[in-house]
Amino acid sequence: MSPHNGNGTHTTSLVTVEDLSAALAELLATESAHRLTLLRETLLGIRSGFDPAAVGMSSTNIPDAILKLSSVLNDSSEASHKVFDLVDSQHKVIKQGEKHLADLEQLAQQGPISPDAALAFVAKYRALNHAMQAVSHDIVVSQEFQDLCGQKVKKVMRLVCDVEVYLRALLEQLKVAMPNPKSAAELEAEQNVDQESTDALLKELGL
Amino acid sequence: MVANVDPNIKILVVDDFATMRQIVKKSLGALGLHNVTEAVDGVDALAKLEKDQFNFIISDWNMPNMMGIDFLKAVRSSDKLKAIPFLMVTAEAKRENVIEAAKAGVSQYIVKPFTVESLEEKLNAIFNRKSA
Repeated sequence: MSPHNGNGTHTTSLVTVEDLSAALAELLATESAHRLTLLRETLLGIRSGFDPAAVGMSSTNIPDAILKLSSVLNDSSEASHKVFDLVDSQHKVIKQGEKHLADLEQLAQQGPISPDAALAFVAKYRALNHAMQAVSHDIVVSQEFQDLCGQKVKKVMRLVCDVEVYLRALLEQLKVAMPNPKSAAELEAEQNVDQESTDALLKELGL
Repeated sequence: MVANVDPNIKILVVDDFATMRQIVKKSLGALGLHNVTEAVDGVDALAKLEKDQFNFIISDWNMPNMMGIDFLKAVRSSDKLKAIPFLMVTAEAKRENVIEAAKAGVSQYIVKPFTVESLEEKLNAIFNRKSA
């Protein structure tokens, strides 16, 4: 307060301008300190909210998960190419079989087939059969990558679930409003349409 | 063999996954179409389209560097390339994807995984319409 005196100048009998200024500075300092205290408490709260396992998760588990997924990509790609190669070798065996049959047909058209020629054909065809069985076996064995990849993917899925739990806890601590997780039915509704529905849609669009 | 399709047509298959490029190539081979060139993404494909002439493009949607939809838009906005039939073969098959591709000028759309029969059906639809 600064009431007027008789000569028109401000009196400072109650509070001086300097006092007001100092009081304001003090208020500001207190307000800032209060805010800083709140911030510190919040940060401490966030830190205490973390399970120490979260540190290990970010420094070890997540990089490891990335490596695992990367190896799944490589392994599945290698396995696919192995199957392509095996199918190509299977085609070669089939073509050889067709050639043997054509030779036999030609032989039969020339007259009765001798027992030696028939036995030679049987031997050749049996060898081809064995080759086919070996390729089929290799194709079956090549699918073992699915088991190995499945184990790696399962580990990564578990980690993703753990990360989700930590993230939710952190967001709750920060009082961030979170929508409820989507239900399986909602997630399914967002999935892709099949070829039939795609074709119907393309037709609607004039294609 | 696919009716109304010249077996010598030059086809550009664009996919970042070598396995999928092999599957598409083998499927085309089963239909008697063997003149196939591969590209690993939209950027690589545009470079190949710049150097060479192609009669047909088969592209994935999800690719690094340039997504299939952006590649399609680039093709359709080029006077030199816009007439090339463009088949999108992709696992991205949400309604909005199909609509976006149709608006961008896709010729046909196949949802992965696909069969040789569905590929043949789409080739017939594209080339029969083209020759009509």
